[in-house]
Amino acid sequence: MVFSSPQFLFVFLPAALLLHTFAGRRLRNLVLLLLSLGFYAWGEGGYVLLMLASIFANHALGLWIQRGGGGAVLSGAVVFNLLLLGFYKYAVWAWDNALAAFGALGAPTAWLGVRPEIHLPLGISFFTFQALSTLVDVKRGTTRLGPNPLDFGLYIACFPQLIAGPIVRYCDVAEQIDKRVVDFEGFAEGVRRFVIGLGKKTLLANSTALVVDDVFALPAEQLTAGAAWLAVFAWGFQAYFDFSGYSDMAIGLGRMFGFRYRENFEHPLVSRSITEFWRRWHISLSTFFRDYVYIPMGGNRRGPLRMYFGLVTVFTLVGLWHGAAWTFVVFGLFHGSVMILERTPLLRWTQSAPRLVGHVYFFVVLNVSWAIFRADDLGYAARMIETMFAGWADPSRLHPARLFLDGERTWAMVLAAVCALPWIPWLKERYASLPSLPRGLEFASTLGLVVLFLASLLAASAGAYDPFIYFRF
Amino acid sequence: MRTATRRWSDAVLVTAFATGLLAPLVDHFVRPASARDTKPEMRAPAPAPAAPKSLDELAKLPRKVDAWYEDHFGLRDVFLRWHNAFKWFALGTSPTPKLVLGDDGWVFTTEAMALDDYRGAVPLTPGALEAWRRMLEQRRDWLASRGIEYMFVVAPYKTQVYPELLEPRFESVGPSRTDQLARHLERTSDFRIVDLRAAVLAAKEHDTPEDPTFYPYGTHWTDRGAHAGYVELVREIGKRLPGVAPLEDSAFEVSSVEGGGDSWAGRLYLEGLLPQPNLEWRVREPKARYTGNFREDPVFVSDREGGEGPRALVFHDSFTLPLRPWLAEHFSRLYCDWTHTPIPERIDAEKPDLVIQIYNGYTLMQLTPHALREEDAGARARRFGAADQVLWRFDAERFPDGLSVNQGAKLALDGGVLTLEREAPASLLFLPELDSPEGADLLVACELESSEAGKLQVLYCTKRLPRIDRRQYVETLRAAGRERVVLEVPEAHFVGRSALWFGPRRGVTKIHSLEVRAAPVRN
Repeated sequence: MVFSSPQFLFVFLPAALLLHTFAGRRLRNLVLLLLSLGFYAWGEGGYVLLMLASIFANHALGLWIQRGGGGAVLSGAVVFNLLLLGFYKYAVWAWDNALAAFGALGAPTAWLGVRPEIHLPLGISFFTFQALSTLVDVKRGTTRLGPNPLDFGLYIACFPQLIAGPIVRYCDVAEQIDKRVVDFEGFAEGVRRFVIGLGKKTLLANSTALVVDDVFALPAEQLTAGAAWLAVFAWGFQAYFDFSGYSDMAIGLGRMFGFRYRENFEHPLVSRSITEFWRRWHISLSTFFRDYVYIPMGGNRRGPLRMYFGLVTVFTLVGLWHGAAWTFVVFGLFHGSVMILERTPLLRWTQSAPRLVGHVYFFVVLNVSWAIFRADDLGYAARMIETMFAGWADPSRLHPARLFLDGERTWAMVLAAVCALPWIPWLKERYASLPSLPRGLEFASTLGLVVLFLASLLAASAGAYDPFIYFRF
Repeated sequence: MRTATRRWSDAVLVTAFATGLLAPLVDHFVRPASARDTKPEMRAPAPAPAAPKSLDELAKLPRKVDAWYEDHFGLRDVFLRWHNAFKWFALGTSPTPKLVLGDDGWVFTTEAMALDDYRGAVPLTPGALEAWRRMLEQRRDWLASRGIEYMFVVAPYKTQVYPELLEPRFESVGPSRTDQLARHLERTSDFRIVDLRAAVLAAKEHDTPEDPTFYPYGTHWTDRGAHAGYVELVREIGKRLPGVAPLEDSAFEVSSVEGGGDSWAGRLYLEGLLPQPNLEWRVREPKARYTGNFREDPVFVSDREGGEGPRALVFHDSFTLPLRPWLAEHFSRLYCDWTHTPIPERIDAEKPDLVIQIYNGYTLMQLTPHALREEDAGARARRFGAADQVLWRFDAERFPDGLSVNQGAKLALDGGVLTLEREAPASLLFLPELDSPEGADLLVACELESSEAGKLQVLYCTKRLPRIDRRQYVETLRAAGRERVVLEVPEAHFVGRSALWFGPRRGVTKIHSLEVRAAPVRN
């Protein structure tokens, strides 16, 4: 059940808000936990038991560490979580690769048996990382785990952030689980944020996705330079507005239930380098890897070679975190390598170059990496990148870029470009000296949000709209 | 500090939010479900799920409830109408990917890759053209051996008749498949397809806003457009069956009909917002008798007073529906069947003087030429036997890797026989990914056993169409009981997995053998 579905908007959300409101302070955590487990079970069925097992196991391990369990307990706990994630997310991929590798070497493959069929439980990457961060923080002494497993369960399973993040730290919400304030002002703030996220998802991400899906469905040899650039450009918008929209909805929902989650995106598409991009994109993931992998590996403190090794390692893992495929590994390696180059004289100049040069550099590098990220396989990605740069010499009329743009898609691309700019920080800065927004602007923004909400509801309602040509068929 | 303005803004926003979330719930209990379900979309709404009786059913319950709710939630019809009206009138975009919007709001279908055919973006390969020639000649010869004339007729589709109303982005880059095939036959065969395009384009010259040749908001020809096609078709019939000539224009009565005709307005929830003219043509004094609704029923059978004259059997698509009562005037008996595959048993039963296959041009994007078993006289089976490049074979010793089913179907190996049990009409049996060579025909042989006759389709993916979506297949008809069939996919470089479909009937099919071979393309 995604947040933009009619069943979430018209059934689950109103019911959850009412039940949470009437549960009172004593029962509201239990109600919210049960709602979250129901939300998860609705989509994932029996895998809710897997999540519950993870919750109870990690809570017990956390308490053990807190009571003096040594490094071995933490190591065991980390291995337990990574094995869980590895089994469900990477086992089939590993099997495929083993089969291909042994086959290529002419070695026997019968011992591999039948290809395993393993379902990837939704959100397992998020709840596993949240558990890991808690265990490490407990060991570091930066957070204390409460004795009540229900509180820890609510931290892991709370439905707004359960299936698509942001990756919340226990230290950020532990106090809120216990003592959070749900007031009208906070609720309205949550509604604002949710509506913005819903609009991003239903109006911008879903419309730009139409362009992306059509172009990436073309056979590689039929790609044209214009279509390839359009597709990666549109994919950048789709990925950003889909993911940041979901994060906005999560943050907004959290606020409606009294939680304050950290920001996850800060206008990443206006960056001027890949390094800056990762400070603005999926912040909860990049800071997780920074705090729990990169810095423990030595960070910037042990000389450039160690730093480069750390960057490549971290970004390969970041790539792999997105999915079990070589495209994601290469995407991570590419970003890690570019970040190293941005620390060397080869690309360091981009930081001091005029803004426009920096933006153009970033635009090209990011879009090349998007081709790798979105393609089904590396062969397709390579062909697409080749076409992006070498395809202009032979512009085919078969699939020009304009073929993929109708009125809706063109508007979506234009609006996406406008909305990717940091207007809100700019407005906040402009009106920072004023005690409040001018009245006209305040009403206009509210009216705009009401219209945006209505438009998003209409778009969400059309999700299952599928007229047939002939009834009998 | 919150100002009064902010407090008011918050109140307005939260009220609007609560209203937006709760209004569908209120509507759910106020109006009947039928007021907002999917009937305008011409599809049955998902049924209300029954209470689960097992763990397996319980696990499937959320999907069923979701499907039911998405087809029934409150204000669904209102939201869809507003959504579609905004897309149509404000953005100038079709609310459904099945259409594109042209000038003056005229719609053009994207189904069955009609736009790709118009653009010439997915031409037939040389091997496929040859397969078409072979099939058409085989069919003609097989029918001729029974004393039956054969015509293969192509009707134009809207994009071919009104290209000037299409957005310029859909630029044509090559010939359509109909043009390709016609030219190929001119060079290599004495068989000719009948192309109705010129006649309909001539009729378009007499268009008025009240009487166009195609429906502006539909995808089919109006009765006047269909009549132009009918006249040309009957003239061609007359060349084969002397004495048959089109009815005079004066034999028809033309009347304006409120509503009706082909329009997407209802399916788009835009009823009342997209009015279009509809002039119906009827024969003034019909001699043919028929029952049922000739504009909808898949099968149409007519007899003419006196019982004299030739008999005809027509296999067709939706474009031929309005022509059926007009054609009936020329035959002592006319049997029309809305299907893509000729049925030999029907030919034997009807004993017609003429068999016509008539389809609109973009059907050539869907149809892969495949002769009937009766037509190829065992040639395909012999070719399969001679092909020595085995791509995949079901081994009766162990359950084959990579074979899978969907939509709740069950597949089991029992005593060296695969037993397939299908619950859903659309469920497929997927073959493993094949390493198929380029420039080769693929031959799929299987020995099947089932209690009822039905269809067998091989659905496959190629580089050009890399998804299984029922637009790329070969089909044959299979008898009840146990029989071996061989299907031939001309010059198809399979990409990804292909699948077998056993027709819409649920039930058990036993698969005694299944094998895919490649053979060099025939010249």
